[in-house]
Order: sequence, then C-alpha cells, then structure tokens
Amino acid sequence: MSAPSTTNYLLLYRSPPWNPSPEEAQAAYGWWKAWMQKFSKEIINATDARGEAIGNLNPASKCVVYKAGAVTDGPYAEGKEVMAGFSFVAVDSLEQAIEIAKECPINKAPGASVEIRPLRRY
Amino acid sequence: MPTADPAPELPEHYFRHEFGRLVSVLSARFGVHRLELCEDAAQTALLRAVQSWSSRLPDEPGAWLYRVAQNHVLDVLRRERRVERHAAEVGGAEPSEGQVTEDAYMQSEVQDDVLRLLFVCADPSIPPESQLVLALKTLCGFAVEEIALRLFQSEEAVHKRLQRARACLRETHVEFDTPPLDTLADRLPRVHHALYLVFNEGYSSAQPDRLIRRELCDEAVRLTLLLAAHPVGATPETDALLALMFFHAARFDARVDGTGGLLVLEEQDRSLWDRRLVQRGLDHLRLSARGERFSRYHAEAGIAAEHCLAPTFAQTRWDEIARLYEVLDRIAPSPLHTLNRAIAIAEWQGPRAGLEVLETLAPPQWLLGYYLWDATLGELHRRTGDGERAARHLTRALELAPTLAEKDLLRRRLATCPVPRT
Repeated sequence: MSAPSTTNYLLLYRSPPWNPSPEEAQAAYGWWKAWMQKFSKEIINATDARGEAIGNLNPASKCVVYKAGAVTDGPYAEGKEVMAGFSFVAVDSLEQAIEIAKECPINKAPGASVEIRPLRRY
Repeated sequence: MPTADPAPELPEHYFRHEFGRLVSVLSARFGVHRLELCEDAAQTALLRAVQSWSSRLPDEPGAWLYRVAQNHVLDVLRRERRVERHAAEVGGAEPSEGQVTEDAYMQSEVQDDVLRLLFVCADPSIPPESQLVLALKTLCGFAVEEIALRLFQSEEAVHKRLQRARACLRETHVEFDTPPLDTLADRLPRVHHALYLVFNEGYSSAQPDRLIRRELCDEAVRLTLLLAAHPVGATPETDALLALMFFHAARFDARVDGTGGLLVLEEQDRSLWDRRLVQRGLDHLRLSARGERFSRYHAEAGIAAEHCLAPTFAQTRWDEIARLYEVLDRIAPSPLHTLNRAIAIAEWQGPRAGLEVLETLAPPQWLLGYYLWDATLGELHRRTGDGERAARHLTRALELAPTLAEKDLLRRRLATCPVPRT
C-alpha cells in the first residue's frame, strides 16, 4: 500500500441542464460506474452516515452567495451551464488529474466541462 | 480491491421499468389527477440515482428510488400549500409526510398499482391514439422523443396527446380518488385493445430498427402477463391474446433475411422459429379454451397457431385458416379479414377461388389506398397466369408500399410475372 499523496485535486463538473429518458439515464449510470471502477484507487468517494455518495449537487435548488454581510442570488455561470457535481481525486500530479478528468462521463454532455483544482493540505 | 462489485450491472431496461412502477405507486398514493407530477418525481429519482449509485448500489434500490420520488412530490405539494395559504388538508385524505415505508414498495402491491394505472390509461374519455401514448410514457417509461420515433409521430403531436390524456384524467378523477382495481374491471376490453396495439406497433411496424420493434413486443407481453396473473385480468380472452402474441413473437427472427429484407411466410426458414415461444403460445391457447366465449383474439390465435404448427408452408391447413377468418370476420367485421380469408382460400382452393371472394367485397376508399389490397390482387392474378392484370396491380402496390423492404418484396414478385406476348 503506497503512501497517500499529499496533493489532491477537486474536479468540478459543469453541464447544461440534462433531461434524459430512463433508458439514457441507465446508460449514463453504466458510464459513471465504469469510470469510478477504473479509477477506484484515485477517486475518493465522500459518503454520508448512511453510506450514500455525496457529490451530487441539486441543479434545481436555489443557489445563493453570502458576501460582505449580504445574501444574493447566484453566481450564474455563463449561458445555460449548471454546476452538476464534484469529486475528489488523490493523485500525485496535475497531469494525472487531467487524465482522469478527460475520461469523466460528464464530457458526453455537449457543452460540459470539468474544472480541475489542486488542493493543498496544511 | 473489493471482492464484491459495489455497483453491479442493472438488468436491461431496469430504469425504464422502474419508472413505470414508480409512477404507478405514486399515482395510486397521490391521485391520478397528479399524474404529471408523479412522472416528474420518478424522473428526478432516476437522475439522482445515476451518480449516486455508481459508487455503491443501495441495498434496496427500488425503495431508495421511491423515497426520493415521494419526497419530490411532498416538496412540491408543500410549496403549493404555502403559496395558496391552505389550512391543513381534509383530515385523513392528506398523504402522511416524510415517512418512508419500505414495505409500501412490496412487490405484490406494486404489481396491483401497475395494473391499476394500466386500467386508468384505458379511461373511455381518452381518445385511443392518446391512450397508446399515455401507456408508453407512464407504464413503459419511454420518453417523448422515443415514443415519437416508435409511432412515427412528431414530438409535438406526442406532447399534445399526452396533455390531452392527462387533462381527461383530471376531469374524471377527483382529488385523492384512487379507484379500486375491481371497479375498473369493465374496461378490460379496452385494456386488451391497447395491449394489442402496442404489440402490433412492434410486430407490424415499418420501424427499421429490429431491436426497437422487439422491445415494443416485449413490453406488450410483459404487461399482458401481469394482467393474466391478476384476478381482474385472468380471463380466457387474456390467454388468447397472450397466445397470439407468443405465436407472432416466435416467428419474429425469421421474418427478415440477412440484409434486412422482408420474407413472406412461404420463404421463411421455419427452423428459426422459436419453439419455446410456440410452446408458451400453445399453453395459453389451451388455457383460453376454458369456458364458452370465443373472442377475436381466440380466432387470431388459432390462425397463428396453424402457421406455427405447420412443418412446412405446403402442409399448412389452409381450410382451417379460412374457416377461422370467416369466424373472425363475423366477430369483428373488417375488409382486412375478408382479404386474409381470400388469401387462405386461394392457397386451399386455387387463385380463382380467392379472386371470387375478393369480387364479393366492395372495397372502401381506405382499403384501395392500402398496398396489400393491390398486392394481393396482383399475386392472385399472377398465379392464374394473367400477367397484364398482375403487373398493373403489383405496380400500384409498389407505389403505395410504405417501406423499402416491402417495395423490394413486390419488385421480386413483379419480376416473376409472365410477360404478355406482343
């Protein structure tokens, strides 16, 4: 068992609103499953007390920003993008994080993107 | 490395069938007048499942989906109540909040609810074309685009039919009215007809995609089996309908050749007929013979059985088939049944006998525009040696034929016509 890397990455998914048929949704389940299994060592799944995955954002929910004592609506991504979800990955380099992001099924949605942010532990 | 797959493959069409089960249970719980909300809730649950389940499948996936879907409905209802400033709803009729009853999602209750929704879809106030669309959307879990593709309609037309159907249901169903299944039993003939239509869409369809057509046939069989397993639907007619479906399904693979061309019965390789499905057809045919009633499905199943049991085309009992078409024509009069009877009689007693039957028929306008009318006349004249008449009818049939596969078949026939000497 190798020592866990000290640099982790946050992948943030954005995509246009997605309204699949049940058949399309099941196909997507297959892709996500395959991606998570392929990178099972690298993708850190945050789970709650019930053992259920955390990381799905609710695109229909209201998003607010608290700044300088005030709560405002937003932020609105350009066009029709919504924040779809996030994952943590434990790899040693940005290149490796990019390789994982490239294969993420979110990319199948036209106009989707993955933001890759390095994290540091202090 | 985990030894057990935490997120195993789901059965084929699981999401689509689960959609149908969710909508059934939710509409039973929250009312049929809320059908669209129930559909949205089921959709929400499936979307949540896509990412959530990919790392780990819940122990009870069905109950997990139901909980998410139910919470969606309750959220919407709560928001509506806040907006309308309603006081507490009529006591007892209000759906209890929050509590997830895993038991509520027990298999047998879900089956009941699915059947109830099937009967609700057969509401007499819903026009037949809207009924079919509603059943495909709510029970089979097809999306609007998928229905449009399968029924050769525009997405707009499908939307309109869905809206029409849902509006009819809102008018006939009072809030929180969940009619018990046995009070809907008199709709059984309409339910049969709707299932027959779904099967036909798969079997007779001009749809080029074989898998799509097969899927529609499978859906019809699935729902009809559910019907047959429940007291409200366990009738001889349901068994006859199942027999008919199994006999047709048995021949499904043999109907096209290697390049997707259509083969007539005479040309089909009978070794490709699925003997297990023929046997299931025979089992249901036997069950359908209980009692005194003889429906159109009995006649059609009997005809299909004759074909499936004949070892070769030449050994087909055409006299029996002709007799059954005569019965069918009496039970459910239609020029199409007369047409098919003429074909059977031609096989049995020669082409002139078949032509005589057709001469007694005054074809309505729609039949004259149906390619099989001219194709049949063309074929029978071809067999009597009247090449000129045959060519005329086959040429017109070629113009009217809806698909390339059927056109090719007719061209082959045309090519074998005796050319008149000039």
